[in-house]
Parts: sequence; structure tokens; C-alpha cells
Amino acid sequence: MRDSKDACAFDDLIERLTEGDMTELEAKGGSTTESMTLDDIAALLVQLEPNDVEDLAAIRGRLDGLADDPSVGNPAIRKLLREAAKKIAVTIDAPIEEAAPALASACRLVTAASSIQRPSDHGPGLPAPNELSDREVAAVAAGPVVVPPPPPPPPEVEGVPPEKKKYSASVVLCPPDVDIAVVGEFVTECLDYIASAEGALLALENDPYDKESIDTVFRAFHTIKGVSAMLEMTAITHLAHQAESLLSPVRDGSAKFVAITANLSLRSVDMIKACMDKVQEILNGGAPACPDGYDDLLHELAHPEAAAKSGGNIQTPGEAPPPPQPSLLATPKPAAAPAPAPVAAAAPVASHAAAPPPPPGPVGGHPVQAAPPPRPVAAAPAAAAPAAAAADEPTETKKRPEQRKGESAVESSIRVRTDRLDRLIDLVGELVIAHSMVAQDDTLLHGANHDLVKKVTHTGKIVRELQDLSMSLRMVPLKSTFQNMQRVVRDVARKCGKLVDFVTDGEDTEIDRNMANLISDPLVHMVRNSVDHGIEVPEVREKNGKSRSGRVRLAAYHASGNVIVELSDDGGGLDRDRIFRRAIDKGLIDGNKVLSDNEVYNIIFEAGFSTKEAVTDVSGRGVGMDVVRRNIEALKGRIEITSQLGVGTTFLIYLPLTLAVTDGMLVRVGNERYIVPTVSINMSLRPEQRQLSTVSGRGEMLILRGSLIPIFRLHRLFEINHAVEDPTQGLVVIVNDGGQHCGLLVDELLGQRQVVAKTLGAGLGRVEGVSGGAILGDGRVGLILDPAGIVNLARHSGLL
Amino acid sequence: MAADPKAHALAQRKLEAAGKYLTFFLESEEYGIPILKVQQIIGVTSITVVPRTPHYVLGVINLRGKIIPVIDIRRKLDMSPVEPSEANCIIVVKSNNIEMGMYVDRVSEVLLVTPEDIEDTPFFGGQVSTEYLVGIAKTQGRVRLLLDIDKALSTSELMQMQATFGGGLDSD
Repeated sequence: MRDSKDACAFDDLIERLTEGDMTELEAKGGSTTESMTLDDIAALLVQLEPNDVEDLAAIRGRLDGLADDPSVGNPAIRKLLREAAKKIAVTIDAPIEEAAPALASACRLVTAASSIQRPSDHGPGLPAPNELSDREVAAVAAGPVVVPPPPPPPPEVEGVPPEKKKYSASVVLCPPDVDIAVVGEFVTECLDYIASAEGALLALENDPYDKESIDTVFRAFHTIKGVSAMLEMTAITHLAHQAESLLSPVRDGSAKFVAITANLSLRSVDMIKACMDKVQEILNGGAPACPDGYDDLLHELAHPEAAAKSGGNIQTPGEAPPPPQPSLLATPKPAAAPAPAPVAAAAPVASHAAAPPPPPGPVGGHPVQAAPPPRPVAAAPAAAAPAAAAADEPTETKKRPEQRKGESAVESSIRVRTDRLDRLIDLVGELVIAHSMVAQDDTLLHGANHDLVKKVTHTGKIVRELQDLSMSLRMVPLKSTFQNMQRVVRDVARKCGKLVDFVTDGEDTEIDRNMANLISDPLVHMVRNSVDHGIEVPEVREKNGKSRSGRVRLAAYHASGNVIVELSDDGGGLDRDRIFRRAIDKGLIDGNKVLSDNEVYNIIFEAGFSTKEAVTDVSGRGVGMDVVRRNIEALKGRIEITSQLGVGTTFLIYLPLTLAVTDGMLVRVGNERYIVPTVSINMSLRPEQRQLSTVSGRGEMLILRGSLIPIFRLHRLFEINHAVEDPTQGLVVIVNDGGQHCGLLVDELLGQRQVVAKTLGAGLGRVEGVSGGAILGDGRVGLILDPAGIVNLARHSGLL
Repeated sequence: MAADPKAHALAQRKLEAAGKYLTFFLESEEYGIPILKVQQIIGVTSITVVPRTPHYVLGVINLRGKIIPVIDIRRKLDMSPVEPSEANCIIVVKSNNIEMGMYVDRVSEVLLVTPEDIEDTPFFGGQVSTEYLVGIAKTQGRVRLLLDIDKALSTSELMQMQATFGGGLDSD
């Protein structure tokens, strides 16, 4: 069903459709493109950025199609649409500063067209204009507001005006499967934004031309919209989007910030706040319903002119009154709030009465059955969603009540500046050292003061606990990182027309906060690759006797002092021969060499390597995997691949527990001590004379199991006196430098240490061969070596 | 009248240079650095030598969990080394937001320098480098050399050195 690329692109578009009434849209005929109303297209255009070229092209195609479609009766509409398509074409080629206005005019054109079309949808309304002169069309394109005067709404048949939709029935305030921790973060963040928006709005009332304040408010709504959309809290998304649209012309300078704008914006702010309260209530087990007045506000936001004209400020009982707007408040209309969504009331009953459990998939009783809605949960009425969850994931529902117990499900947290946190951790580390110095003092070890020993031991316990706690301050679970991947999988799978099940495991595994941020980008690359390159299209999978949908699994766990992130797919696996041939073609390797499987697989980490024949926007440019490896190595981690052709590929990313603590081997050279990161050490050995040979009397080499390894003398590179000169008397530490091995000559190994890596201070800048320093157990500074830097240094200095 | 702008500039400089100074000895010479730049004075602790740094960088020390570099101001000023003594100490200064240690023979006192006390650095010709001095203060019959700490501890030379040595890794 999703074989044509176009269909995929449009699916994508429809999902972005946070605007517009989804139920209505779907009811018209499933998720195909034909069902997109002009309103929907206009809404999409508002949300698209000029750089969403692919989506814009798709919309343009659709508009062109409509413009040429004789079944669209009104020539004026067709004319407007053709003009809009032209504008979009401009957008696609133009530089960004020209593209944005063109996009805006395209949007206006479509809106205008839809407003002409709309009355005819409702039966015989007032005659819509049938002809539009070019000048009129141009005016629409340029004009700040919808130009063709919207004909007065047809006479009301029943109490509710026809276009007054029950917004609250089609949106979800808080999806049932949402992560409480994430929502908690969102709520905190949201309240921050709301506070700043409120302040800015009040400032705007005094100075309506304050560009900065407008931007602040706009940004607040925009961010809230984005995050809530990600969390599938469509109620908030919807609201924020409308508020944003209201302010958009003000921001462009095409409209003034007037009292009604201020009023509506502030009410939106209040409503978002009310939604936040409601969300917390829902998380604590409250009924999932939008706050009172939600529908009215949305209605007014959608039709601000109407609200301004009538002076109608549908004030909802219980709602905090907006800031003084006497003229508006003077004639309050009686609250015409429709009874909170009948669907919402009906659904819980349905879920109880559902003796034969509804089939998994789309919610039973939902108007759309023919085609699965793109986002079942989001599209489903708020209360029906729990029913779906109950039917689909019994385990999930069992878990929920437990989580909801307790005082407040949303944990309170405060934000702390990271530099303060780092300083605290530094000081605790220092305290540990200072304490161990006291504890090992001679007077204590050999003294007879039993009382003092007891006191010091007690302090030691507290210090250790403090240290554990301070280390945990920086740790965060991988959960949110993994959740972002879910989205990546979904998007890429749709783009490529593949079916993918995404499974995560061990998402509670904690890693250093910085690392969680830094691992995200490489993971996105890898997950995209897994879906794009790894998983086959359903037809191929079927032919190979696999299930139609592929499986991508992301897991994290602790093993041998590392955090391991495992990404596996059951796709086609790496094709050894193909990689090998490609690598030869690209001149990355020598064709005559015999390589092990692992060596071949590692080629995919080379810069510029890609086996994908066609470059798509998903992957295939050959950048990515080399960046992935570099990023992971920058985190002092490493990556391994195992793969079986036709069965799948597994990537293992080994990460240190925390960035702050480095596992290192303390080595001695002369009187100096250095720390070599354990991740880069392969082995260490005392060579025998017969294993050593030289090139032109200087370049020293070690023959180890048939391979030649260059030896660099640390004491010569670092000009250290009194060090061991004879390699057979010292030790050679074999380190790997990005795939190549080399040996470093040191005097002896002093043992393994866990150290807190620090910079050597800005005053010194970067020192070649040294990646940083660490405070050793005796309070002195030890330098942490950077093997790659040392090799680089040795090669350039000619000191071999 | 023609000398007026010049004299004005000089007066301005003197005014700026005036203030409280921490003075310290290098051999028999007494130097001063603005007290506001001084963070603390610590005794000499064990210094870890950092390889491949300029000769005047003694190494790095552990300052309560922070690692800071220590510079031998004698070597920076091209003075001959002396035997270490009990009075040696490290003045931790913050210049351009960078903390650094300054290894000195011994600290002397905190001194208030008025604009009238300050005289321009005389010119000695090529042999004696005066580029790190902002001026000379004559108080209580003694001469104090006022150090331009930002310049004296400037890391531009370090940066230059890195540019020559460390180009290779950046491209990775």
C-alpha cells in the first residue's frame, strides 16, 4: 500500500497535520492524499519550513492536480491554487530569505481558496466569486489577511454553528502510554516558557511594537507546540499552534498587535497552564478531559476576526479572567461551551463493556476503520485511547496504576548549573583524597588512639557515601535517548517504505548526562542506517522467508565495567564481498590483501564509504559511519560489529560508565608517572632481544606474532632523564591508535587506576601527546597520555 | 602645547596603573602585580612536569581539585635560576579569566601605589627587556617594578607553539 514514494511523502504530511480536524479528514476516505482538504493543505503550509523541499514538492504536485481538476467547480479556486503552486515552485529554488515570503503567500492563496470553497460545502450558501482578476489574485498573495470576504455563515440549523468544531473531542491531552518522567520535564519546561511568554505579552500591551517580546511569545508557543507534538499531547499542540498562527502576522509585521490579539494570547497562555494542571491531574489518575473553555478558546483563535467583530469574549466560568480589557469584558456572551465531548463520555463505557476485546490496531468504534490512521493513539478521542491501550498492551495497563500512586507522579526537580555541579564533584573527589591521606597517616596507623581511629573510620563512611551520591548526580537513564530513536525509526521506515518493529531494552541503564547527549547523534546515524540499509523492504523479506516487518532492537546493559549499547536488526546483514569490492573500487584498501571478516566490516567506518547505490536523503553519502566511530572514540568508547549475511547485523558500542572517570594504567617513566587510558591498551610485555629489530639503525620495531609493531620511546619524546634505555629491561605497552598498533616503551606498570580526567587548564592549551590530567591518590597531578597524539608526535618529530 | 596629548596619555596611564599591588621578590628586585588579579598565595607543592611545553612552564599543580599550570616568572623574564628555598611560593593569579600559578622567590607586601609614585619605564636598549612592565613605582625610597600580568602570563607563545606542533590532530 505504501509502495509509491509519493504516498509515503503524503502519509508523512498527514501525520504532521496537527491542525485541522483529523477525524473528519479520515472519515472522508482514509489516509490517502485525496482526502486532504484545502484547509489541511493550508495548515500544512503554515507548518512547513522552506527547506522541507520534498514535502513542498508534494504539496505543489497536489495543488497543480487540483488546479487542473475540472471537478473543482469554481474557476476562482483553481486560479488561486495554480498561483499557490507557482509560489511554492519559487520557494523550492529560491534562497531562504525569498522563500519564506513566497511560502507565506502560497499559504494565503490556499487559505483564500478554501474560504471560497467552504460555504459551498455547507450547501447553497451565498454565491462565491467565480472569477478573480489577476490583480485580485496578486492581492491575495501579497495581502496580510484572507482577502475574498468570507461570506456570512449559512443560517444556523441547530444550536451550534456548523463550523464550530468540538476540538476537545478530537485531541488528546495526555496519551495513556506517555512516560511520566518525560512529561514531568515537559511540564517544568512549559511553565518556564509560559512565564516568559506572559511577561512578554504584558510588555507588549505597553509597547505593541516590541519585536523582542513578540519573538519571545512566538518562540514559547512554537517550542510548546513542538514538544507537545512529540509527546502526542495534541490538545496542547493544537492550542499552541493556533496561538502561534494568531501571532504569526504580528511577527511578520503584516498585522498589528491589538487588544484582541493580546487578549487571545493571554487566554491561550492561561489555557496552556490549565492544560498543564490537567495533565498532572490525569497522571494522578484524573479523568482525561480538556480544561473547560478549551473549545471556545480554540474557536476564537481560529476566527479572531469574528471574535473581534462581535466583541464576543466567551468567558468561561471558572476561567481566570484575562487581564483588564474593559471594552471586551463589557459584553460577555453567556458561555456556550458544548458539553464535554460525548465521545469522551461514551468511550470508558465501551472499554468496560468490551467483552469481546476489540481487534488490535485502530480503536474500536472509531469512525475510521477502513484504513489505519497514521497515528492511532493521537487521532483517537481522548478517552477511547485507554481502551485501545487496554486491548493492546495488558501489561502496560497493569503497570500504570502503580506509577500513578504516590503523592505526585511528576517528580520535582531543580535545575543546577553544570559548572556548579562539576565543581561539587571536583571537591568531593578532593575530599576523598584528603580523607585517605588522613586515614593513612602514621599517627593513626600506628598510634594507640583508638577513639580517633573510630572517628576517622566514621568520617570515611560518610565521605564514601557522598562520593557515590555526587557521581550519581550526573547520571541519567538512557530512556529519553532511546525514545528519540523510536521516532527516527518510524520516520525513516516510512520514507523507505519499510515495516519496522522497534524494540528497546534496558532503557533504565544510567550513563553520564554529557555522554547521553553525545551518544545521541551517532545513534541516530546508526539507527537510520539499520532501517535504511539493514532492514529489507517487505516484499524481499517475504521472499526470503522472513516476516514482513523487520525488527530493530536497541538495548543497553552493564558489562565488565562498561555500558554497552547494542543495536541489532534482523535485516540483510553486511555483504562481505560487496563491501570488499566497493572498498577496492574506492581505493580504500589494497585488492590483494586478505582481510578477516571483522576487518572487512570495519571498512564501513571509513570516511567516504557507502555500498548504497543511490544517494538518498536518508543515507548513502558515505558520511556517517566514520563520524559515528569518531564520536564514540571521543567518548573513550569503541564499537564492534557482528553480522551474518541474510540474518542481520549487531553493533556493540562500549562506553565507559561515566565521562568523568577514566580507567587508566599508571606507568612510570624515569621519575614521572603517566596514565594510559585502558581502552587504548591492547597488552603490555617485556620484549626479548630476538623480537627487536631496527630500520636504518633508528626505527625500532617489535615482532609480535608475525606482525611488526613500531616502538616509540616515551622518555625520548618527553625528554625524561633516568629512564630505562634498554627495551628488554623495560616494558612495551601496545596501544592501538585508530586501528594501527604501536608500542610505547615505559619503565614499569604501577597498576590500574580510576581517575577523574581534567583539562590542564586553559593557560596551557593543548599539549601534544597529553589529553589531560588527573589528581592521583597522593594529591599530585598525573598526566593522561593520548596514544594517538604520541604516535603523531613521534612520526612528525623524527624521534623514533 | 604640542606635547599636551602625550602628557595627557601618560597621566591617564599612571592613573590606570595606580592602586593596590602585591609585591614579591625575584632575587633583589621587587616586583608588583595588581592585587585584584591575585587569587591566593600557596606554598610550593609538588609540580608535575608537562612535556613539550615552553621552558618557562614549570608544570601543573593540583589546586584543590583543579589543575592549573605554573609559570616560572624568572625564566619568563630571562633571569638566571636560583636554588629553591623555604620562602618560595606560588601566587595564583587570574588573568583574562585564566587561572595560573606564578612561581616567585618570596612575597613581600601589599602596597598602595598612587599615580604620583609611578614613573615610565626607562629605556635600556636591546639588552634589557621591559615589555612586561607597565611602569616603575618609587615609594618609601624603594623601587618596585610593576608587572603587566596579562602580558607576562600571556599564552600567545603557547598557542603559537601548538600551531607548529599540534596541527596534525585537529584534522582528525
